[in-house]
Amino acid sequence: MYDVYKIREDFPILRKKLRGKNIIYLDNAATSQKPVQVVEAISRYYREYNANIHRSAYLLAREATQIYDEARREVANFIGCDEDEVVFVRNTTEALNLIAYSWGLNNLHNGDEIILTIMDHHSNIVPWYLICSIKKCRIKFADITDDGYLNLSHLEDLLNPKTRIISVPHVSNVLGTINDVEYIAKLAHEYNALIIVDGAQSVPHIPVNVNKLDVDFLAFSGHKMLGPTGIGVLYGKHSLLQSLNPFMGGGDMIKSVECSIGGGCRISFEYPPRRYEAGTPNIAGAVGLMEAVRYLKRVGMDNVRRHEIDLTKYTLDKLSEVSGIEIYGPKDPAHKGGVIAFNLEGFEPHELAILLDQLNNVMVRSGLHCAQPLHMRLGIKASVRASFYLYNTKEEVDIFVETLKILSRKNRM
Amino acid sequence: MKDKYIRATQELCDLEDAYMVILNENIINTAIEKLRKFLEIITYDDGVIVRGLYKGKYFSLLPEDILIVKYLSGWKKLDEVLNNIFGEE
Repeated sequence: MYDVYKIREDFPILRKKLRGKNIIYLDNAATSQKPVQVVEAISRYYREYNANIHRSAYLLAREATQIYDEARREVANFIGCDEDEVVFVRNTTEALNLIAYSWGLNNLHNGDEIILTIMDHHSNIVPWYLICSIKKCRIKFADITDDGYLNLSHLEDLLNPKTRIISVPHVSNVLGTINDVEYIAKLAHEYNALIIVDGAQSVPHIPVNVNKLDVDFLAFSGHKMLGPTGIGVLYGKHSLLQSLNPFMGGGDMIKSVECSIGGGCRISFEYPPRRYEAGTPNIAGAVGLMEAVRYLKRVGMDNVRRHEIDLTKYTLDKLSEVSGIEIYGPKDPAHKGGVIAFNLEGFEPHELAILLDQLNNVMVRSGLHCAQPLHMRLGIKASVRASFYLYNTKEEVDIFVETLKILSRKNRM
Repeated sequence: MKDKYIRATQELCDLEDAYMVILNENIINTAIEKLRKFLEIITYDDGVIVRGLYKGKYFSLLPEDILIVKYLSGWKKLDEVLNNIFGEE
């Protein structure tokens, strides 16, 4: 039995009062709140285990190394891969840059094509733009349908023998659209192209198994899934990670560095994943992420997903009572993550976000949500976005919608 | 001089080059007086929201001393506009 009120007890920040009222945190697509278990795991690491990893011979350092490696195993188990297929990075953005620079710089050639989607986050556009400007490749964008789904037939039309990569968001951070990644992976592989998935909005919210999806790379961030900031994950298939050059060089990612005083160096790299983790990594961050993953496993990702479907359906129904509201993206919660982007007639998105906060501590995001091409495609200057997670309640949605109704009425007076 | 009236500024993310200005609550009444002197008021909604125009820039004054300014071409332009409004005694 999913008990959202019991879950909320684990999140101290949700008891915080501002302006004498409870806070209503609906900006989970930006970052999630942290359960006390994660906060304590990080604190315990610094109090009891802190030492640098993979280097020193003493017992404390061996304990720190063990806990870091354990974090990797926990994450691998969570997404259904082997531990040496998990590279720790700072966040989704860094993971996508790693692929762009390590794979793209060495494998893309003049005239090659990369397919992205118009609903992509900037973090899956800008790295490819940078690489394409060096390698003289071309980016093509798959369109969306009028109701906010990825237009798969358009994507298929873009495919050709020059296609080297299809890189898509699993779940849109604005529309909430859940893309059929399994199908897109099949398409990519038919053309011998790579399939890369931005999992920033999916891994925290829906069960994800990389083997079932058969994706080549998957990127996600720890801070959006109850973990700390500064830790993220790049999943890559064994064979691909083995074949790539490192993204960054430094300590801990090399097997040997032989240099002669007269000049010249011979360097060999560690096996993946350490090849991609130059320098001292975010050890405490990995520990925090491990605890976050354990927390999500205890709750059950199927349960998290069911709760968000229920909450999204409830919210969409309630929002239909607000006059002057325009909602973007799919309306069927079964094909949508817990993300609702909208505008309210008579208000600028930033005004609306500030007023929701000031009137009832309802915290939503306003702006482009790092998805400017999507907003241009929708023909809007910006939007307001409410996004849910496992601790949000229907009572919070009621206050959110009631506040919108008050504002809508005020605008009509 | 303008800094006396302004506590913080922050860039906002949209296609309309918007910025958020947090006014100093200690002298908010004087700040609002100055704003109203310059703005051509386009909407006044019971103190919840005051919208106005000044030299093609859009201003929106919200509760808790927050001012949104739009259609600027960068930080320098924001500075110039705020200086015009708040710069004189």
